[in-house]
Amino acid sequence: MMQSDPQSAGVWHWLRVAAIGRRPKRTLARMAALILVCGVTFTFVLIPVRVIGLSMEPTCHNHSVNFINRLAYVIGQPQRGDVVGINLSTNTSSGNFNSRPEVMLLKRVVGLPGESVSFASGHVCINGQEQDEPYLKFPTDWQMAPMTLGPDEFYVVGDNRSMPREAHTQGAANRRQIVGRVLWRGNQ
Amino acid sequence: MKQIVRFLFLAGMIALGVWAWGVFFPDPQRVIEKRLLKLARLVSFSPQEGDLRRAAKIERMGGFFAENVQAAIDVPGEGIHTFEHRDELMQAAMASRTVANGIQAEFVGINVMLDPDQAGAAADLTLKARIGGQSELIVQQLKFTFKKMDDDWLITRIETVKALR
Repeated sequence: MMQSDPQSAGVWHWLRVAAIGRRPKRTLARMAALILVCGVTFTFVLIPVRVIGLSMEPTCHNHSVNFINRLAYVIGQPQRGDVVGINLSTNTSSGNFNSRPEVMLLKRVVGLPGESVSFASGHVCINGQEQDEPYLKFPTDWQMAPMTLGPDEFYVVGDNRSMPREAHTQGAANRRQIVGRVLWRGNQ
Repeated sequence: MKQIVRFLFLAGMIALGVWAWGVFFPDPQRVIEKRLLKLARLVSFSPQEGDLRRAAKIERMGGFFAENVQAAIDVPGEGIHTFEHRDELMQAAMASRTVANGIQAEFVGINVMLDPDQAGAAADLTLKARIGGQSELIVQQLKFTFKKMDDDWLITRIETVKALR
């Protein structure tokens, strides 16, 4: 009668415990719960994004990873200074959790509904008053005549204003286009 | 065991029926989406592409557009380019292959809306494109207008839609 080596049986036992735990059914239940929670979280709550481009440097670095929190504006509205994800399509609803845009703009909110927005020497002016923008790290000389925002519009612009203003995607976004707020804001 | 086999056979027949229905009676929105994805593949080219393949692709692209197609496309760094005829558009496509060192274009987020009479449609989508070996990604919102002509969905208008006012 063949006898199994007690030492190797012990090793295999510990390997099995390490892989599937002492109670496999419980392990399976925990795995299922984890998959469900992750699936719901990363589908309906946090959208993982990879930043491509330089328009939000140095706040959000090119090729960095971040998350858009879709629940940030369930209660409340975007505030000045928030870095938000914006759906490029104007034919959208931010409350529609079934829509997950594959491509979004990542910009900072600098103007709120009803305000007059302009640029002088690169800094944003709200209703004629220059705003303090500590997140601006690069030299800039943008000039833009005042533009009045509609009741549902937010002015969004990137932090890297060292590029020509015409080459930088910026402007008034409708509230419906704002998907959520970024989770990690890097250098404020 | 017999019941399981019968069940599997029935499930297989239903799946085959659904597939056949999709092939012989395709959903117009799905048809338009597939055409747009195909168009994006034809627009893309690599610098190693031969002249014959280049010409063949341009010719196939022509089949996607109505003769009197109108286009108003924002070319980054150059402003809005307008075209009034299919031939103009194809000439521009050919010219782009001599100027650019390759283009990788992709249409994402395609949203197709059929007209009530089902003879026309509009599609909103996002263009993602890389030119040559540049790391900078071009992203633009486009709107395509389609008309059904001789059982084919042809593009009658393309325009860049500004995401921000």
